[in-house]
Amino acid sequence: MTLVILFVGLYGLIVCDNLIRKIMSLSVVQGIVVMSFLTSGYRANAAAPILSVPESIFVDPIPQALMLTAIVIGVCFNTLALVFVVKYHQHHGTIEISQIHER
Amino acid sequence: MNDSALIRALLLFFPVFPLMGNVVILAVKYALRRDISTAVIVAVVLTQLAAGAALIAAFVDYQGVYVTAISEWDYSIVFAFDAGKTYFLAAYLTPLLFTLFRLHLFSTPYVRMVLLFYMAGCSGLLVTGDVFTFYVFYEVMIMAAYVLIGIKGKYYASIKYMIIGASSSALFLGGVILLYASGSYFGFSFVGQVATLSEHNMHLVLLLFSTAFFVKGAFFPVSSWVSTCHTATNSLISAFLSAFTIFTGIYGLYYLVLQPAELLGFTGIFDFLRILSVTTMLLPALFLFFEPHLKRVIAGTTVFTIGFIGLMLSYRMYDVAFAYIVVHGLYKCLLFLLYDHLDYDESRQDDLRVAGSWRALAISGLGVLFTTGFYPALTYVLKYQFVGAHGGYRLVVYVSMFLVLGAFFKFRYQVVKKKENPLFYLTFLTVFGVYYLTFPYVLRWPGISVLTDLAILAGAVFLARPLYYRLSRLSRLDTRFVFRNLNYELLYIVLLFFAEMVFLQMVVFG
Repeated sequence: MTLVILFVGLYGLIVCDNLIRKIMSLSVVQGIVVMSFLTSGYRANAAAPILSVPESIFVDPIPQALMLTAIVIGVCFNTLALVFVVKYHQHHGTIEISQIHER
Repeated sequence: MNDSALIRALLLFFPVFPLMGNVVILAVKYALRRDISTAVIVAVVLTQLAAGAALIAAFVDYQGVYVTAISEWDYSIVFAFDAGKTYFLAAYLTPLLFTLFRLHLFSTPYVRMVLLFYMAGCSGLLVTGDVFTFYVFYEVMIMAAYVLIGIKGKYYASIKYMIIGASSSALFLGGVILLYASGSYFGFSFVGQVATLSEHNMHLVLLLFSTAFFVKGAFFPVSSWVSTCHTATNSLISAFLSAFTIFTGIYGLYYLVLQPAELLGFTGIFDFLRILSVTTMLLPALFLFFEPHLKRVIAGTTVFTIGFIGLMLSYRMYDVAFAYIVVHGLYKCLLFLLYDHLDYDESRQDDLRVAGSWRALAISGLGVLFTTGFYPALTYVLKYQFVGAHGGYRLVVYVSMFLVLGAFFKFRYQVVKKKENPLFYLTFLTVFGVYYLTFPYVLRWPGISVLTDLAILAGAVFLARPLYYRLSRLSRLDTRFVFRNLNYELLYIVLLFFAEMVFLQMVVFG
């Protein structure tokens, strides 16, 4: 399933002409990377890693802690990218890559 | 190390200075309604220059790696420094010094604050000793760079840089996950544990890391974003991007790919780097020859240098490669900052003409020559150190040199009267002097090789312009020839990943 979602994201990233769709596709790729990390810390029938809970088995807290940072970075990226897309549209009236001239 | 407490403090606070600067700017702005951002940047730059110089002095001859953790927890943030990092630190300090001469390019306090965030990211990247903090500081640096690239209104350059940067970061994060899943911790010293880990997983980790750093370091075929993104912003940020940020790809490649690959005996990655580097030297240099915009030409020479450095790394000539990065940083600062003193007429593409004062043109000319490795520049010594050891690449080096020089000499230069700041030139001369003292080498008669270089230079001076106009009529082979739009470049990232995977499979499994 992970691979399918990854390929959907990659396909959108490479093929989509619209910048917003491209950014959404990139979010899908980033999301699946984060998902993979979280599942690497998964343990069956284990509790959330909160020490006050009297459970002997916890899921691995490291991926959860680290991926929070990665999610924050992803949100910053999406926000900033969309701001630039809106600004670009205001100035040039298009967000289709085939209509963008770089020079 | 004798002054361990001092070194630890320097390492921990080096990335914190710019962040503290931002806190001070905001506090004064809201408490006293005053803008002190310019003064704060000057203070931060001077502090970082002093701290950086102290770190270089302490580590330049240091054997091994100095590691310090913030806490005693197994997964604590780890800072590390070694002799190799001093080169990258020097490459960062060079554009930082010239910040003092270009503060007027940052018009509002908010943009100056973004510059401080950028500096925090760069500094953190240099002192970090673990893979995840590397990722975080890289993102801090690059997020700030996205904003700084967009400050002149060229939003598409920013968007392009963001999409390509985020794609490579996703690959890098994939590698981090696999590293963790393989049972390793995140320290740069996972290199030391590498032999105990699953070899198959490690190969995949190195594959993901290397593709990410090939993209971040602008190896061909993922290199066309350099000329778009490095030229969209003001000259100081262009200098920072070309002298330091792009070489973080090389930095990551060395610490997180080549060192572990060496320990694993995974030499296929060096062979792949060799092929990629030769392509990166030749093809982007060819596109550069047909590039009509001067600032894009200046940015494009970085890609040629990346290829040359990659080639040196693939033969494990690390010190030569790192010294080349430092010196290249100075010449690139020189070229980008002098671009402000030149007048380039974009509207007359049929008569590529550049005007400037005799001083700006002469020093730009020297910068061009020294970038491509002419006597008596240090790049000359480094270039022939490599060519002397691996003579088979002589032709590749000469052809790419001709193309890069031709890319500059196809323009017609014109001297005009201009008012300039002599202190700016004086600083350059001082930095040149410091470099020659830092990397002392004998200025002896260089022999027959300097005549070869002169012949190439003469060829470029006399042939480049007619050749450019004649060949341009047949076909315009600039970057648009291969990189028609962003979709192609993203496709090349995926192709690069699969090409490397197939190559490594062939090498590993015969």
